[in-house]
Amino acid sequence: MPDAAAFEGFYREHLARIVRACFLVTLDRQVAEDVAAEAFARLWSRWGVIVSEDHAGGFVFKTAMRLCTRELRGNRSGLAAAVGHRDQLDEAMVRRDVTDALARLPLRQRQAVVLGDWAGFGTREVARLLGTRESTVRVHLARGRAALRATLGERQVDDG
Amino acid sequence: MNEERDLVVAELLDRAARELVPEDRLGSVLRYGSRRRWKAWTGVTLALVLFLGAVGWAALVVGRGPRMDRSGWQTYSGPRTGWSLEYPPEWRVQVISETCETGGYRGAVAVTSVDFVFRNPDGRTDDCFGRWVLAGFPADGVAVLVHPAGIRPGLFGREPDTEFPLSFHDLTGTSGIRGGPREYYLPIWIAGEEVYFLRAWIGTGASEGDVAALRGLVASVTFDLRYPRGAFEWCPSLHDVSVFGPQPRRQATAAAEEFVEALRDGDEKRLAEVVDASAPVGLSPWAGVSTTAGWKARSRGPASGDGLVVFGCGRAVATSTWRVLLDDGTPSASLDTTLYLVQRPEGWKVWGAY
Repeated sequence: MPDAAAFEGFYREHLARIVRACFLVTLDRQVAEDVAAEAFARLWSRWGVIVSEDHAGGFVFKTAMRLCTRELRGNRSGLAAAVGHRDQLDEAMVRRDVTDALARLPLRQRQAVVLGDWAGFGTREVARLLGTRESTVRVHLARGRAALRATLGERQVDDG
Repeated sequence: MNEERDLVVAELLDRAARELVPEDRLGSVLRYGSRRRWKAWTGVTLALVLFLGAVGWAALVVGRGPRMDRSGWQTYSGPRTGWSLEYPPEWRVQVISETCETGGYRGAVAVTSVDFVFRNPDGRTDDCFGRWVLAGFPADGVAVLVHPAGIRPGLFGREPDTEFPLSFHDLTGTSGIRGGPREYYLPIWIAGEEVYFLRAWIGTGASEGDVAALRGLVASVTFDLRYPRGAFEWCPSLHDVSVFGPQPRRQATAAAEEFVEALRDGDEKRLAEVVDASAPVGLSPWAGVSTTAGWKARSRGPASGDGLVVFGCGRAVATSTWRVLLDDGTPSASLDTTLYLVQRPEGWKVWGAY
């Protein structure tokens, strides 16, 4: 039998990070929590096969990103809904502006920025998690950052 | 870590997400994950079973080759041979013998697609157990010969019983005959006894049609496995037969004595109490059992090694049967009778005698 206690420890340690990453990509808290739960459930179904925690972290991030992509591509109205929900999610102006700016980014750029800048993965890891080439990730990162800066303006950036 | 990380963007993103506290769904995650695991293993197992089944089926189909249409073929089955084969009507049948036998099966026959007579080195054509001279076998011919194996006690190991229908792939090729046809053979084992040999020859120039017909002929070879046969006209049902109890020798012998006394007195009611339900009712089926004065019953143990019972009723009956010898008190063993008994819930019952 797989070690449920070890899984629970991993789950509690990584849940918030995964949900937040999913939220930044989907811009929908409910979708983010659902996607994270499914990614962890898939991890649990393979727990014991995936041995080290490093691999488990990579697996759950990769699965979550795929599920995010599936959710957004499967539901085109999801993005609009996410923008509509943002007021419920964020009371602070900054948060609203950030989610607005993220919502305007193409999905791949948003994923690259979230994984590369927010989650702190290197270009190679981001490429592996997204199933694409490093050079492509660099392009997405550069364009995503530029778009965010342009949308948010130097004021917020400087305030930050 | 990403050495090219844009910390300003990172901070902005973090502001949007840092206060999000996710709901704890560990319970549902574990349940859903467990279901996924179960489905995955079930799927893998099912896929494996289907794959192995498909491979097995394919192997069976390939191994058996295309089924030959044998409609219109003739059947060879000699007088009380206990076996038969089918052959194309235009082929030739050479009955070598209808009397030689092994294990209760009789007769030997050769079937050829060409004009050829099987002989042994002496020139005889009626020798069931001899060697066969293949000199002059036509290159375009094929042939099958089915003959008794003869008795070869203890020289060869025991093999599992042959399963029917046969496939040509069941036959073993020999090193062949220099300049002659390819040669194949199959020993046929029934009830733990090597009873017959099936031999086949394929000429170097034989047509595909004749080879296919030869395969069909081999597939048609059938040995009668129905019981009873041989020395017995009936066999006991094994429905509620129990394994031998702790005192089979004494109890079985007592039942045998009761049987003989009832038979001697002509008491059908008493006889019915000790005769197995598988046997016909009445005194007449036991007319051959000697009940002259002076007989003694001697327990002889299980019948698992008794060739008569193994052949006549099968190995399962033999291993469940206990033998009691009725010694008629004379020096002649030929006048003695062996009784065969099985143990039912209500006691030991005589089911046969020889």
